Amino acid sequence: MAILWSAVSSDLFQLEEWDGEGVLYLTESGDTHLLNPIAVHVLLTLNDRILELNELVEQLNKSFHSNSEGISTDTISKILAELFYLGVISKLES
Amino acid sequence: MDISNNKLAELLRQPEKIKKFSLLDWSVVIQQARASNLLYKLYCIFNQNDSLENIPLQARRHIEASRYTGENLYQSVFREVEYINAALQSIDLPVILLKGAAYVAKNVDAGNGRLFSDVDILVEKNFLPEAEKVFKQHGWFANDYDEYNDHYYRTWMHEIPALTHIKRDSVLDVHHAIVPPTSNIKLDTSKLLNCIEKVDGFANVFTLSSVDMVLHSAVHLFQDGELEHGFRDLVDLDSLMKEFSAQDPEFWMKLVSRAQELDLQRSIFYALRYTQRFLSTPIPQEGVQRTEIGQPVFPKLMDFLFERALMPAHSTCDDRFTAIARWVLYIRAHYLRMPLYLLIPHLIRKAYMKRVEKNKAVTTQ
Amino acid sequence: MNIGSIPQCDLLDTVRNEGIVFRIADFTIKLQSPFPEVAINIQKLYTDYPVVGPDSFVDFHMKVISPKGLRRWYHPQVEFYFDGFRPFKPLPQKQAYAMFEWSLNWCIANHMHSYFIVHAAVVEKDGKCIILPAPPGSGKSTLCASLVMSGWRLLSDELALIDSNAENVFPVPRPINLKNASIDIIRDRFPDSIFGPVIKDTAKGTVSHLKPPANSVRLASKPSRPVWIVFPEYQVGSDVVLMKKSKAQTFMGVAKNAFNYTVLRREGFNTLVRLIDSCDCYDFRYSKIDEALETFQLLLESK
Repeated sequence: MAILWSAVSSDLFQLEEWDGEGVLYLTESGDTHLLNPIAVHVLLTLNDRILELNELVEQLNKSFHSNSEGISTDTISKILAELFYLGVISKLES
Repeated sequence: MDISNNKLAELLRQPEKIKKFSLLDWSVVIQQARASNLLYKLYCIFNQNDSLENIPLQARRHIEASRYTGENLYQSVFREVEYINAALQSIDLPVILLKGAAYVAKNVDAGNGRLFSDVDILVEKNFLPEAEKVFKQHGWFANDYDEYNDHYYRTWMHEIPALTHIKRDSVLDVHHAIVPPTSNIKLDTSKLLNCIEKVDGFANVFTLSSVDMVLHSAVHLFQDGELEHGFRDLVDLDSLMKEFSAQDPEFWMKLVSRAQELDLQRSIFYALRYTQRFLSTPIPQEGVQRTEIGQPVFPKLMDFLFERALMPAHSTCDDRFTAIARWVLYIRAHYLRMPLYLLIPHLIRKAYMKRVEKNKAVTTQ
Repeated sequence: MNIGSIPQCDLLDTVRNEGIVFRIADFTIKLQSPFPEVAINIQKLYTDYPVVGPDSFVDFHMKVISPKGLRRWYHPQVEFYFDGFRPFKPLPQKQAYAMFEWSLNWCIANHMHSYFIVHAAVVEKDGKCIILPAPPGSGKSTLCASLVMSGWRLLSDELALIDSNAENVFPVPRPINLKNASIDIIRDRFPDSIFGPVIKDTAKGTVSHLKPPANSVRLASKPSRPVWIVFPEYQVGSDVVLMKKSKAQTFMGVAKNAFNYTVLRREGFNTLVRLIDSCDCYDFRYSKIDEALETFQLLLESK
């Protein structure tokens, strides 16, 4: 059973981005958070599509053209956990 | 007393005066509104009838600035009620909202523009220990624990010490009655509990019935002596009575009968008298007559005191007797709450603690 | 008529009794105080500010007065009342003038939510303005005072008032609050500078207020377009460094220093986004005033 991730309704947050880094406003609490470029990408990607972890990692590595190591699944997992805790992404079990 | 200095009351009685007030009048209104915690109320009234533009800009920006506090409050209140509900539902108790939170939840006009810092609820006395336990489990704790205050509340008051949530900082006031057990009024809380009404859109959330809501507001104002919010509470009463009487032609008769049943005739006499005096609340003559049974022994003396104490707590509304009138009513409220042998030591202690607090010259910046 | 043109004894009388009503840029203040040093220093530091008539709308009714009871005479104190409220605990009486200045900051920061208000200095030259947000101790006021005494216009040393479109910063030019060593540094460097009383043993140490140049007061009704956001930091012995700062990090830094960011919620977020969009952002470190002045001049000429 795979876990699918997706951004929540756009009423619940607002993301603004400059040069890769982002600031995230949460509508309900009024809190604001700084997001690094990878986290920004994760959220923007999940705003458009519903993806599994592995698909997401693949997608991000393509977009980032990063160093030979690439972005690890572990890094993305941690980011997903944080974004989930903030309430801007939700998970579904397929 | 000449109440014409109460420019705020004048504007509330006749909102069309918005076009006639001078800049100096507005200066005064805003001060009086701030002192009575009614600035946001003004915003809501004028926003609702689309007349904000008629207020001169210098005054308007102060009134408009108040909306941020108000709008933020409303968002957090609904969330808070959900949390309280989660706690009480787990022990099968209903959430019975009182005062400001009740007006907002019930979506009555009195809730429009009403600011408050605590959520007040009513819990049946027998279930109080269980309720306290579950609130603690859900993160609410009594703050500034002081043995004397704790004993005072539990023995003589109709509420337990205020609970603050450890994470959200929100405050919960848990009442088990609407008058203190030591009061001269003997009110059976179960009569109120039998008439509670469900709030739309929430499972398990209730308020007192319309008539009981008015009576609670009246007894809270005229018995409890919390007169620093006196003018605001009068505005609440005026709003509640106008709305409920428009919905139900029998409202006034029901109000009077219920006051009699619950032994609250004195409070309802004062409520009708002073809402009419300050806010010209339209009350049918028969209703007024039937409350006269609750008249005090010295009506002129009480007028002298209440007409001063119910004005907004601001120097523009004071005369040379205002301070003493407030003091006398403060003592009266305590006397109504506790017998004399308890009252005097209590007041001495309170005055001493206040002095100790005041003399701490802590720098602020 | 300006405050400076009132005979001193009349002014003392007015401030003691019905209160003096005067305008600071967009705000009308009414101040009552029985303490002569308050009236005398208002005249010294607010000389060029206009007095307004008793029928004006007053934004802030301020009273800086003695407490009732023992504290009137025993270790005398001063209290501040706003619209009948006493928002702060009392201070020692000799801090009365400072209490007026700090209380006025509080009045504006807590009530004027038609603006997005940042704890920052704001200066302007050639139609472009720089916002200098900084927590206490960063040397913002010393830098601000130096710039202002060297030809830059003062919009504020404490409160950046930004409109919701973030197109303009609105001035509220008032005496600059300097602390401890900065007082002598500025006094020595700019011998023409006029200071209010030097008040010792406050929570901020020794403080004194520097009178703003008349030009800044004269232009108080002229807002200015924000072009740069610069976070200053004074560091003993440091070389002067001006480093580009990421916009997202600037956003977080400004939000942290804003008085009403949380009050304004999404509107505050959007205003700040617009501000960040339109400004270049830097961190700035310095130890010598001359180097700081030169750097800011170069920055000005770069755009």
